[in-house]
Amino acid sequence: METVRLAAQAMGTRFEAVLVGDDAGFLRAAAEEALELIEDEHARLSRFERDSVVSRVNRHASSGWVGVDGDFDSLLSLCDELVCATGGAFDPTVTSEAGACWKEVQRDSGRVRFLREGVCLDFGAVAKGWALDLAREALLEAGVEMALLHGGTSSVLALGAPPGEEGWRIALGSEGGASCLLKGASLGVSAPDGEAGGVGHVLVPGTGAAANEVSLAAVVCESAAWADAWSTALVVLGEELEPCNGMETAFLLSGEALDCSVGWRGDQAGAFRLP
Amino acid sequence: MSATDRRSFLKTAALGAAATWIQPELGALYALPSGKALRVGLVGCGRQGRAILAELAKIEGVSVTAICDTDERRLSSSARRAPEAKAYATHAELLEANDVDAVVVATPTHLHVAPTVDALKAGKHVYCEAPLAHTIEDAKTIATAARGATGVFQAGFLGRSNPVYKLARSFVRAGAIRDVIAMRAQFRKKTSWMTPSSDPAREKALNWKTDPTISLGLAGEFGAQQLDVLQWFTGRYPEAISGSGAVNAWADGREVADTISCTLEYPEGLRTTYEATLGNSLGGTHEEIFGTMGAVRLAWTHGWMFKEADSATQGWEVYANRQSFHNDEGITLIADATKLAAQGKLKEGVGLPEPPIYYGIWDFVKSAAEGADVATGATEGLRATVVGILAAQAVSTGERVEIDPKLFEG
Repeated sequence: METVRLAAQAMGTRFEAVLVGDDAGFLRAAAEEALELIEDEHARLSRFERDSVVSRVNRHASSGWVGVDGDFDSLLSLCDELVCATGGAFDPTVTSEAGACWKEVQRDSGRVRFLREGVCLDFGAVAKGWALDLAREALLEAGVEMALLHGGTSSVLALGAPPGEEGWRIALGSEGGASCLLKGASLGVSAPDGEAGGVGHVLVPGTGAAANEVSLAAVVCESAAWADAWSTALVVLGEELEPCNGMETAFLLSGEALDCSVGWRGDQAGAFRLP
Repeated sequence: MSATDRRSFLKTAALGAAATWIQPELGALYALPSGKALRVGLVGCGRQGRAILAELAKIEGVSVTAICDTDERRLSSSARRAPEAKAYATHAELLEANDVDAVVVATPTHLHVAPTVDALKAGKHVYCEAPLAHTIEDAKTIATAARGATGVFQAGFLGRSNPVYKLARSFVRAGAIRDVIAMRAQFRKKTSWMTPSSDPAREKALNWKTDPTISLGLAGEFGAQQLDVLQWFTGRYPEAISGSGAVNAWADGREVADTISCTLEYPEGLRTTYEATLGNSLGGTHEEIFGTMGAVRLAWTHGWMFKEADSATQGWEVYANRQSFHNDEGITLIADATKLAAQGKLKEGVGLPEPPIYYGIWDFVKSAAEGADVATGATEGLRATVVGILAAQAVSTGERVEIDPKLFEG
């Protein structure tokens, strides 16, 4: 068995890919293709890149309709679902002027516009997962069976399991602490302070204030985009979480200790909150 | 004159001077005039084809009505990006359906000729990706078909459509760096240049870039595009090319060099050095033009001018945006500087507001739908392609290639 590891800088973080299989050359090509897709999505979705599709929409959509391609339109459709599922706790307009919300983003067959000045899109809470989902599709099409991809350790996607293992074991928080086992699934992790600590970077839709309900939220879903969006929403929602579709597992941690052995699993509706 | 008045005067004077280089449409939402529309078909749905679909979707009045690829997976991937388009397995079927006004050809280089010539014969406007072909014979076939066609033909050499490059060219041609003494370009990216597939036949087709029988390698695939920029800036084409290459980064049995260098000899002793590698990414992709009073570096989305200490300082430079590169400081070339400076937003103008490919596609759409001048026609496309092909030949043989000027006449 060969193991190939590759990395790329995108979306303000480091994406890594670990692929396992028989042919190192094939695995490397597959990893490159997956990471190139992620880089392409960075170029399209980063609001910090002047020539991204998002920047273009943000520049012009308050003045009228802006044409977008089918993939971008699909992302907007996904956001419709995510905003609805999370009751607005996930909202791509969260960095707009206070008071703006997703309802002020209007769509019409390949076009988008904002209903007023000051609205802007920021896919920071879903873009890494969205890109990982595209990467997974490419890996599966190429014939890759065992792979782990992550973006900045907060968005993780697993294909299959390493040889002889039940899944890819992912540590949550500090080494030796809690972990979860991923197989054919994705993990999204959000914390109010992010990796670096300090100023909160998860914002509460509507107010734009930093969320501080919980210290960490981790969600396992099939889709990395859903896991990403849900983990952000859980940091915003805290204890107000309602049972939600699509989640395999959610860990909602407000205490100091991380112990996922008592985490909430599978078909139970709801999330687990550590004491 | 008070200090404030003087600053104000300098700023105004500078902006007035700069205004001749401004692209007035930059940053605006491009749309065809009311009543004008263009139906576009894409032939070749790889990464470049998908990138082009994204740009076409931005232009009001343009609809992508057809996409075509022999590879089903690529076709379905592109269908998501252009959901209204009908999907075809061959370009013949696409042309037969006759629901397009224009065709964009983004197939692998060695497969450009058939869809390009057939689409031109069918009366379609055609945008053909660069380089035009992998052989001089095919490139000439395309150029001949384009010259005799009723539709518009544009070759996909993007420097000629790039607003930052147009601005930089204006500076260079106006003597801002004085006499051009040397040029240099590089392409560096860490990639194996391989595409994975578990199907051997598909894998072979997808990996045409490492097939020595059909690939022009780095000199042709990237060099042709970058060298055309330098040729466009100076108006000169090479008289001879020397080159060498080796497989230094990816010893996987490939024969197409992954690390190359070329020297191109232009009239009057001017030389360009071109280097490219798939083993390292330092500095990425850029072109440089060196003059006796300054230099210009162009990196597709960005451009800078570096002044020599003894060069004259223009008034507007006092207010220009600058970026440091170790011991050097570059003046950022901002294509819509006047407007942005007047609004106090000069810094926001750093970098193009759209990807470079957008401007090539927009030029094509404007020519096809409105009859605007073609940005890069058959002759320029042929010449740039010939340079790429001969540079590739110099690299693969290791021999100096002398160029018959008649080759540039097509």
